[in-house]
Amino acid sequence: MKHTQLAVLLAIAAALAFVPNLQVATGFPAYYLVFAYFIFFWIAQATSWNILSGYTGYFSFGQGAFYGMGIYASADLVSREGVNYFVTIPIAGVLAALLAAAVGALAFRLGSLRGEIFALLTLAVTFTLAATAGLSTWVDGGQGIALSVPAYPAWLGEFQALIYRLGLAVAALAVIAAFLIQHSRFGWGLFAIRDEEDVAEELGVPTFRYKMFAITISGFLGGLSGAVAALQIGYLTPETVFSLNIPLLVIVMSVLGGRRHWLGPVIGALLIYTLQEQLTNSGLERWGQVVLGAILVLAILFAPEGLHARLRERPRRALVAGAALVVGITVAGVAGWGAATDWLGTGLAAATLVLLVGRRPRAERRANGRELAASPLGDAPAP
Amino acid sequence: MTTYAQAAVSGVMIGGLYAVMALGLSLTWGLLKVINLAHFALILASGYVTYQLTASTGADPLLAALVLVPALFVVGVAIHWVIERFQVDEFNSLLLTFGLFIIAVRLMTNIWSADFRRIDAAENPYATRALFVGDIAFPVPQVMAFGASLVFAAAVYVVLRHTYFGKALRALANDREIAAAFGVNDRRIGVLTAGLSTAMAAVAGVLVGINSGLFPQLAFEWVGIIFTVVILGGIGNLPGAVGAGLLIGAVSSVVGVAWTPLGSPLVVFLLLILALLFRPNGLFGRLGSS
Amino acid sequence: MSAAAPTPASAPSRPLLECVEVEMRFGGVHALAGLSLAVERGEIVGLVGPNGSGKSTLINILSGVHRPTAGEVRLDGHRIDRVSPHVRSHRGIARTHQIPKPFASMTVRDNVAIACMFGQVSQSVAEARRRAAEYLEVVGLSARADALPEEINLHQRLLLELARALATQPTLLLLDEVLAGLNPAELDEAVTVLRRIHEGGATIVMVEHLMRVVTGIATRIVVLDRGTKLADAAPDTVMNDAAVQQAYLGREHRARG
Repeated sequence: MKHTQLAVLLAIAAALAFVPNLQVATGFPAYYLVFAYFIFFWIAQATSWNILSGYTGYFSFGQGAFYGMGIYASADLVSREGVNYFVTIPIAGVLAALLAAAVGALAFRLGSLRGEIFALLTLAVTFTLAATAGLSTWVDGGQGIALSVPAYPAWLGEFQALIYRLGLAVAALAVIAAFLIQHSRFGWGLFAIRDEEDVAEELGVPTFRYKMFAITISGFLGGLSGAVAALQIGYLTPETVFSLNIPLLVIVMSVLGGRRHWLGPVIGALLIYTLQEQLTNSGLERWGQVVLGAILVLAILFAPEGLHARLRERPRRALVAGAALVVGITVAGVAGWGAATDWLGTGLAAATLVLLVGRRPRAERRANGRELAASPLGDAPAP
Repeated sequence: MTTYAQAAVSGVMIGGLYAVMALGLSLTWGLLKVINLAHFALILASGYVTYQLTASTGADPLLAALVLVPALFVVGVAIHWVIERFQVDEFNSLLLTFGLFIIAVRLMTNIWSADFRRIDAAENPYATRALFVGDIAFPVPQVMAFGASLVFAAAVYVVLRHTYFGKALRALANDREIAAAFGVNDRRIGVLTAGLSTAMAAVAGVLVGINSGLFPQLAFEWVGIIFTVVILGGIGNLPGAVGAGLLIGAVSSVVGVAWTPLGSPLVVFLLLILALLFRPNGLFGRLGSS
Repeated sequence: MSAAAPTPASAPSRPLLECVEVEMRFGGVHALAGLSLAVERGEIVGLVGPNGSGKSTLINILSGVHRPTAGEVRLDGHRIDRVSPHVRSHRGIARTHQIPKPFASMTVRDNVAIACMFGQVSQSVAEARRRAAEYLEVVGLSARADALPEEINLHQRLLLELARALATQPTLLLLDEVLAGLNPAELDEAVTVLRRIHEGGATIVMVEHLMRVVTGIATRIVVLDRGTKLADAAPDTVMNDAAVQQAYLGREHRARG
């Protein structure tokens, strides 16, 4: 079962790699390649976040730190040191991984660093990086860094095709990593840590080691994705790189999609990014963040387990949602609402509504029950 | 030498403002175990409303507090109600209030735009005045903020030690179940605490409006500094928050002068990291630990 | 389940567990003061005492939750007081918790499977999920294998704690008030399960609040009072010890009255 799923994933990734060729052949707008690139980008970032925060429960506000590390590492190595861009991609990943490992080594050693304190620490690390980027002229110094398009083999296609393929590669890597982790002993260990870390440790789970792996992998993926973003964006400043946008979006995506499964961030990324694009295209980007914030609030209140849990628990409802998706797309197409992204947006919205309505699945009812939670006042020494 | 002295003094004065801003956050975190990120948005909103009221009616900015304090008290109670009604746990409350934070800041940007807004000197009788001790200036708005922080600190100290409410608060923070067994109504106290916290945010916002200009990003810039104040002061420890606020204000200001203005946030964030790693209970201990 | 190797009659038998002058201080509070204790293989030691006597603290020290402020703890001759809990698990120590702490998002079966995956035997995911059923059999939870912890009652959760601890195949099993609050029928059932576990070769140290519950099954009873050892002998001897009666039973009678 696991092997077939993996094979399917790889096949899908391989097939997607040829879409740019399709674009050249059929001539549909290159805009869709860029749209797809962003979907891949967010899938990678949200999945990276989820491997740490969703699987282990160590909620992080610091996705911006890994992304920022990756993007600046790549941009600086290319523009300050003349390193070949493609070589900087894995280097960026490694540097971000090192940063992650450093944070983990400090945070996980000290037992008091659970929960919200860890979240604040990751936020503080991000702020510190942002401040450093602004101060250090090698990194940025407040001037901004520009990255020009490097030379690359022609068979990779036009610039949009290149970006698309790089984004796809990183997203595929991230999703496959999340998939493999989830089905492995390591993944089970992480889930045990999330539920009851002390008990997991007592049962033989090497919690420190596992948390270190999780955060390092998360950092690596976030950094890789950042390096690709450096090429796509082309011009960086500390304000734009370290804005709260990245941490906010990956959190909303993973919470909405579902934090306990590798599919969750994928669903979330697809939904949220499409929604954002729709808002921008309709000239409503001023309300973009309001809508995002509202989604986060509503998701926490009404669907804290995420949509994936609902898909899982209610296969029939999932089918209905799928039907709603198709209907939505058709209606939008027939009504002449323009671009394919409009149809996708309408279809997804319809499907989401279907999923959200109705009784919460048992997984969620448990998640909100406090009965099994540890005392909120922390563990007092036992008499 | 005077520059450093001035910097230190200004820093301590501003630190008073940081302290007032930190109080509400510290209280809800310490007692209700809710990290209300929306707190920052509420301070900003209070500031903007103060600006708007003054700009529209020409009234003394301090009067805005009369409207804002009760209004924000109600908002705090409302947020508290939502969290209790949906049984949102500690983590998810962080996410929830984060969402509210984002919504609020965006709405404020839509209303007041991203431009710098400052209460005109004409309407702000405090902005231009300053007290002088030797060569050192004590701008009146800053003195007000500092004064407010001292007043709050003293008030909180008295309430905690000498009133039923204060003792109940400490008992609840120490052990909820036992306190409840002794008849402490944690529900009512919870509501009161939530309302008071946001009421304090209202006061902080008015003081901010008097003290400086407003722009939407400000709310995000406060996050790092105020969390540092809360952590260093000891979560839930309100007098501690005041002490930490003054300290951080002074340090931040001196660093800005001695090194570079951009260096201040860096030093503050490094302090936050150090505090989180090595002194998560703060310099002065948490609520209920005295 | 592991069977303890029989010790040759001529060799001096080393105790499985030794505590030497163990002290535990929390701030100003002395939870344990200079406690020394030895547990031989195959024993069932009942650890009793009133609230605040230090029983749970001792279990926490043995399982690795706390590091003792002074003293040594040895498992099979090797010092373990500075060893992480997960390594102790691999060396054969397992414990249950007074208040059950199941993995809330996993089924009863998967809760036990985690122990199979990470305990002494370290099975693969698929293997562990299969093998978990055996331990559910032992404690009598097979019928609820696919339930979530929130769906089973307190007694069943205690049994789950037990099954989980067993699945790590421990040589030393620490039970923290696993018999508390049971009605007579449940008590009998639990004791039967414990005997079965003991026969399988595990050495047991059980913390209990009610002495009478333990006297039926324990080979030896250790009484703690305010962090020190008050008595350490066979159940009958301890029951008749005047000091014990005064300090412990008397207080217990007063508390219940």
